[in-house]
Amino acid sequence: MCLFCMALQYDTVKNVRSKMKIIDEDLFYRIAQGDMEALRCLYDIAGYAVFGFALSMLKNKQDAEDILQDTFLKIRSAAHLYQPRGTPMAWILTMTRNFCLMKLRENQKNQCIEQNMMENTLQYVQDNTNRVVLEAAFSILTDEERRIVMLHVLSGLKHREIAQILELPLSTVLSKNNRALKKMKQYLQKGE
Amino acid sequence: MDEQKIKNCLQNAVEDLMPDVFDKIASATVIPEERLDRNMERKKKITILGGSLVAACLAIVVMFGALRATGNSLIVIDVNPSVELVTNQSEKVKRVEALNQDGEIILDNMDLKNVDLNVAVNALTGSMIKHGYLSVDNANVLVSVQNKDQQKADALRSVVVSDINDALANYNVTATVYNQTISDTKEDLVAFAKQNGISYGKAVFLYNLAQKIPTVTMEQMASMSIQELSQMVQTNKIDIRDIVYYEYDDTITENIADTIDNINEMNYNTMLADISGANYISEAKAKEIAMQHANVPAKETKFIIAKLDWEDGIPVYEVEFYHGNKEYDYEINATNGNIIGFDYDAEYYTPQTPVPQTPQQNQYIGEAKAKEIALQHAGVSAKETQILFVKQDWDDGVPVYEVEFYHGNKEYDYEINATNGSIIGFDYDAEQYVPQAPTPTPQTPAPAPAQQAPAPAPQQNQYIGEAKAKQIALAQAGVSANSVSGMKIKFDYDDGYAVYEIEFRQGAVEYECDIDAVNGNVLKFEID
Repeated sequence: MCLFCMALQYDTVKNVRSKMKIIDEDLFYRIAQGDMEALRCLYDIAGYAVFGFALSMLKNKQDAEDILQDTFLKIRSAAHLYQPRGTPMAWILTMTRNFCLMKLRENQKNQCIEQNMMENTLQYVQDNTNRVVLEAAFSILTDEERRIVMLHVLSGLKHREIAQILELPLSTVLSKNNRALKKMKQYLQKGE
Repeated sequence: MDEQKIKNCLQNAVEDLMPDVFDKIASATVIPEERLDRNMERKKKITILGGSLVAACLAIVVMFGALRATGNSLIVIDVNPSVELVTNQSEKVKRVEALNQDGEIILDNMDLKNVDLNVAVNALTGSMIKHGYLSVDNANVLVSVQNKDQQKADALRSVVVSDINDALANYNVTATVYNQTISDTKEDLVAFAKQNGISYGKAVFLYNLAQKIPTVTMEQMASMSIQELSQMVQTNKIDIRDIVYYEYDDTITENIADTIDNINEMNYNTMLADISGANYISEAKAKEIAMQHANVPAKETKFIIAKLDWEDGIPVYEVEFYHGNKEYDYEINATNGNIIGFDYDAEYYTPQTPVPQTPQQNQYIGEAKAKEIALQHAGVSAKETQILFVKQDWDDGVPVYEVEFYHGNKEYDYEINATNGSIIGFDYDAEQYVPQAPTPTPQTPAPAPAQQAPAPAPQQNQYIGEAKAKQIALAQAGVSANSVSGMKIKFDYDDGYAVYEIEFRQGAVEYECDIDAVNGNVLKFEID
């Protein structure tokens, strides 16, 4: 059963995506058999969360795009090894996280490039308000706060699942999510 | 700007940036992997041991252990600066990672990927000298190699020691190189772990800790919980950074627990070998205990897995299996077969017959009881909460009560099994909830405090009305009004927004739709 693989209005897609956490584990079996329709379905369900999470870690579009590809190529090559445990999104996002950590290590040598890439990334956000909010998430939140908030907003995962992916205590995730949103709210109110 | 708006903006911004790389992914040639690279599943954390011999001196600890999934070697050089190297079987470095800031200084932007291990060690040693971590006055080095294959470990240790000495000679530094202590005591520690019913990892940690607290014996500490050990460390102001994989963001308790887990993980093969001749129950027995408890015949289960693991220093079998539409998880004490914990989730339920439209109330615990269970679990009193709703629903074919309430600035969501009252799930979010001034207009009444009372009836002139909301929901689902059944509509507040929550079924398909009561936008649309 492939949930949510239906054409929705653009505005609705955004709202529904945050709830897209139900992945039929049978998709992995089908992907392992070379079923491209199943891959498309998984991409539609999980791609947004993978990309958004990568963006929260790397703060630039190009790298996040690379990670999106890396993650799904990994899924293609390892789908037959997937063991159904009821947490497919966590499995996928854990791989995403690890790819991001490798990328961060590659990038850590040059802070200057990181700044340029971030600014370049923000140019792609069309709406001014959306851009300001994303910029705030990039600039005023700590890495951990940003990862928690964006993972929560974009993946629809529960706090305890996020805690598992980020290897943090649940209490840390809850308090940092709360603190980060308050921080952003205060920052954005100043600018209004 | 409120928090909901912030979340929406983030979603929209990411939407704008989201590329479509599906065709690239689909057209790429991929080779199926034989085994999943373990590092892709979970970052490997390595425990650094040692330091007790040369407390304030420089130490290099090399841990060598075949990673089960890849056959690669994992080597950690800890010089206070910590650097992790992963090598392949030809001892070429495949990955280098600085584990702390000093490690980054040592790495000094060197690209050590694909170089021979000895070249890497040489370069790192040179860098240590260059950055002052090794000098004529301070040149004590502890090399520790850990491997089940002792010969290989010894060989590698000799090579590393020799490489370090060669490198030091170039800088006219003569180091005192200490050999590792782990394998010397390993057998004793395995025996100690068995005698005291604790994991090998905990035994190793206690051994290292005992060097720092001479007044307390390992035996005394063996019966202490991780929390108690942590308190002892804090009370005695003991610096344990050199005997744990230290993360500054974590508490001492977490650092100790992680350290023990990591040692156990690294010694998984040893642990299995220990079990073969030890007093632990077998995997088959663990499975049997779990299935018996679940009252499920073995031949009806699927995907049964039993994995040995450690939980708070206790050896446990994690047993997982499916039966029907349920996934069971058990944790069973590997020493005595006691069930430490169990859980199950209903998955992918496809009803064979239509789900009853109206709950058979007499079989259920009732809304009042569900509310009571939720409040009790949340540790809050009924007086202090504002119940948003308690409603009967279905989740994966299981009748549940959904209980939602506010306490302080937190919104709690509970899902409670309607038949037996067990808590299936719960979550809470801290919200900027101000009951006296809800959005969107000052005229809007506050959510009612009474448990059974529905949310305030919307005023027709402000909201689109139920009929319109239903119409929007049906259009969203692409179905006609006369083809659906079980239509439920409820007015509620979600994050301060007035919404109509609509549910209906068409055959076995269940639709849930939240409609913004002010502008008619579809806020949520789910199909189950």
